[in-house]
Amino acid sequence: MNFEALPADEFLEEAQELLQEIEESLLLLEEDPVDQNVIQRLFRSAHTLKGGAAMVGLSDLANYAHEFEAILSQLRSGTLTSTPEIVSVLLKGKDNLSALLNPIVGNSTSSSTHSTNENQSTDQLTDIPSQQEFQKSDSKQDSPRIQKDVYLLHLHFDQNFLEQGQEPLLLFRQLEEFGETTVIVHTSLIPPWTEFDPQKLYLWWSIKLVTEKEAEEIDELLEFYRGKESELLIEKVETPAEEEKEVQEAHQNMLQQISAGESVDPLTFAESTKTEDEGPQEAVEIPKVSQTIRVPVSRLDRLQNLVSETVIRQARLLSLNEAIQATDDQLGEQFLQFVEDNEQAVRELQDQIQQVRMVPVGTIFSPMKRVVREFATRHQKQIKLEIYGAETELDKTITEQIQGPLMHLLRNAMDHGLEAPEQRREIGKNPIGTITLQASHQAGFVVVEVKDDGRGLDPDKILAAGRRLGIVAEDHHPSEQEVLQLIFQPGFTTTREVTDVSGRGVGMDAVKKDIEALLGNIEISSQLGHGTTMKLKLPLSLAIIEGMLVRVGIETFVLPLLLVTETLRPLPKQLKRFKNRGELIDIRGQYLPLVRLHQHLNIENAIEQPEEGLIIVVQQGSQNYCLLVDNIEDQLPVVIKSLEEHFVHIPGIAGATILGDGSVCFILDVAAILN
Amino acid sequence: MDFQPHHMLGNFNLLDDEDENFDYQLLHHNGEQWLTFRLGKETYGLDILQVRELISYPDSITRVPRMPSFLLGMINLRGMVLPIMDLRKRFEMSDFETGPFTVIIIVQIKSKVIGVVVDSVVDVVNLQNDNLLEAPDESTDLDAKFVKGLANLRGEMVILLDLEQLLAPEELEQLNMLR
Repeated sequence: MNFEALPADEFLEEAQELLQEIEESLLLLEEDPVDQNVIQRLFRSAHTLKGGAAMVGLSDLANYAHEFEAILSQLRSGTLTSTPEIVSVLLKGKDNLSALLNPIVGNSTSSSTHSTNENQSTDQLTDIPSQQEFQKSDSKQDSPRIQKDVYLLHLHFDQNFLEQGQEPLLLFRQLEEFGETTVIVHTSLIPPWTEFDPQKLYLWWSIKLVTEKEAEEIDELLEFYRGKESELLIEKVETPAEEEKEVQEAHQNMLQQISAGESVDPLTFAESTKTEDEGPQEAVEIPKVSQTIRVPVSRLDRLQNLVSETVIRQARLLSLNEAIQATDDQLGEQFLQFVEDNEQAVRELQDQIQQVRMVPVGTIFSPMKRVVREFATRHQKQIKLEIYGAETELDKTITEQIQGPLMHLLRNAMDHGLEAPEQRREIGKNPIGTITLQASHQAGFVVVEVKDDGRGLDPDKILAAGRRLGIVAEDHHPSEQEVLQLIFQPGFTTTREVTDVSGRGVGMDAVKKDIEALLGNIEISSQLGHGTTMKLKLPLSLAIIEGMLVRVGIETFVLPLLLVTETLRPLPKQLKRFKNRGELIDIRGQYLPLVRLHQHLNIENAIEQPEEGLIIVVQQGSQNYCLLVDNIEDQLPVVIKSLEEHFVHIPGIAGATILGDGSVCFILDVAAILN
Repeated sequence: MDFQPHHMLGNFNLLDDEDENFDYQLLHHNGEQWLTFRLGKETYGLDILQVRELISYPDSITRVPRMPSFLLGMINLRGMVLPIMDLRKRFEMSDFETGPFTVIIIVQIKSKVIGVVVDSVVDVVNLQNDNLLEAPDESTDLDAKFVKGLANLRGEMVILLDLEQLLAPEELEQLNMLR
């Protein structure tokens, strides 16, 4: 809430570039002390820095840059000639400028701790002009110091201050001329928006002023700004220079306090922190200039598209190789070598661009802490949110798109999953319910889990509701997992009769759809009385996925590899047929439904006997299914081309890709086919 | 599988100097330009602003499972995957063949792109607004909602198609149902 915390990102970027330039120019200046071009460049950089700093309200930085600029100006006019000593002082000055910037760029610790340092260095800088005194400038104690006093001003202006044509900024500027100021804005008096009058002034300020002037002079200045209901106070803080740090600390504490939403009397704080003095402050370590650059996501998208094209062309090269080898063995061999080398480079390129687009999933976990806290207070529940694997990285777009579904799952867990504290105590559970958010990498994809230790889903109640809603036929007896899947049915819990069920499922169909649109999978497991776990499996990227190329009849399709658990050719005895449940395949004692892809896709002349073709076991929700295909052709990274924008939505098809020979191949929407 | 612009394109008489009725003024100021093409025995017109390019009939079109037969499938046009609709099948014409003159007109409506197969492309013509006639309901075999109007072009009737209607999502959705 103070001015110093508000600098625009653009300025920070620019400032770092400028500082880099200043350093380079200074080093050049050392080589050629009279090069006017370099001095001009230095001057310009310092000047730009000063202007920018002033604009975003970093007065410390602006002032310091001003001093810096003053010396450069002397160099420019020739009243001062640059010597190695001057250059090293200037370099030190540049480091101090970086130090002033760093608390803002890096971990946003308040800059007040640095202002002590900065005082020293400013002194050092102002000493330079007289070359004789320059020798002394290394040690601060030697430089003459004028007695400065510290004042705390509390400025409550009249509410109609602005209407009267007054302007607080004017006062602040005038105060700045008196000496060094640190301004804190208090927002505690801003009324709720319903009562907010934009014409009125609700802010008030506390200003720390370090100046040589007397209190009377300040008071005279304030006189101009007094109004009927204004309350302008000046307090002199009795601090000899050595104790200044305490005020700084008190100030900093106050800043923290204020940002936490309370307003505090700064003086009492100064008292209370006095005892906790921790000895001399260590010199501020200067972190290196940040090695990152900011790039708009749209540019990354373009880059990603280009890489995707390259991946397609690589596949094209591979298929071209076959043709070449057929005509010329030796040339083919050479070509193959090239193609394989290129393949590695392309894979690497693809990995790297994917890496660049990755953000830690923690970025969407953190806001959930607040959601949980608020929910718990509002609904008198005690909830502990545990987060694991926040550093797990996922494509930026995917991360953004799972935020909604995750929030939904979290709310469900809090609202319907966890019992009230009394109830939990009655059944011998810890009254504090635990919700776990966990992210982790697994081969080629990311798993995000939302787990609660609440009451769990009651299959009997869900089944009863399903029957009541007519989703489940009376004579059908689904497995427990099938029952749990019912909550993903659209409208499953929207009717009133179902509210007595654990209630979960409000909008669960939407969650499922969102996840499946990302070519991901959502899995439920639940134990009655012990809690529920929702497991999301997501691809690392939206642009390129690992795919399995399968053939059905004369046509080929891509299956997302993330969904494939295993492939096999079944023996005739593994094939079972049950009444009402259709064909099943016995895989190590588990009976999995057989799905003939050719039937679903309406393809003729495909292999119909499972023992003649291949079975691909795919995961859909928590259930595994056996897809019958003719053969597996390849396993490869495929570039996803969306079809939605071109008129036709095709059920069962999630997207398309382009194969090495330039032909179009469809990516199967396994979820849609199995439903 | 790169497609060359259709070989016939070079032969188009965009400006017919011989035609004494031709009014150059119209080209840029009045009226609209239409791409005319043949389907069966009739000549149709498409608003040229909706036409992106013409390509020859590709070697391979990937069939889309469970789609109506007039949706031939998808092609790769320089990295973009597009659906191809056969207008002859769409309008349920009985006898047609795919030969050297068969052309795919790539049309674009807003951001959506689709290719339509026609027997052959004829010309690009200017039509003044007062050349256009309201389409009488029974004038063509087509559903009246797909016809924007009729035009008389040197004695020949041109049916001006309303592409937006033809490719409206509801329309395609309905066809999905019929499948």
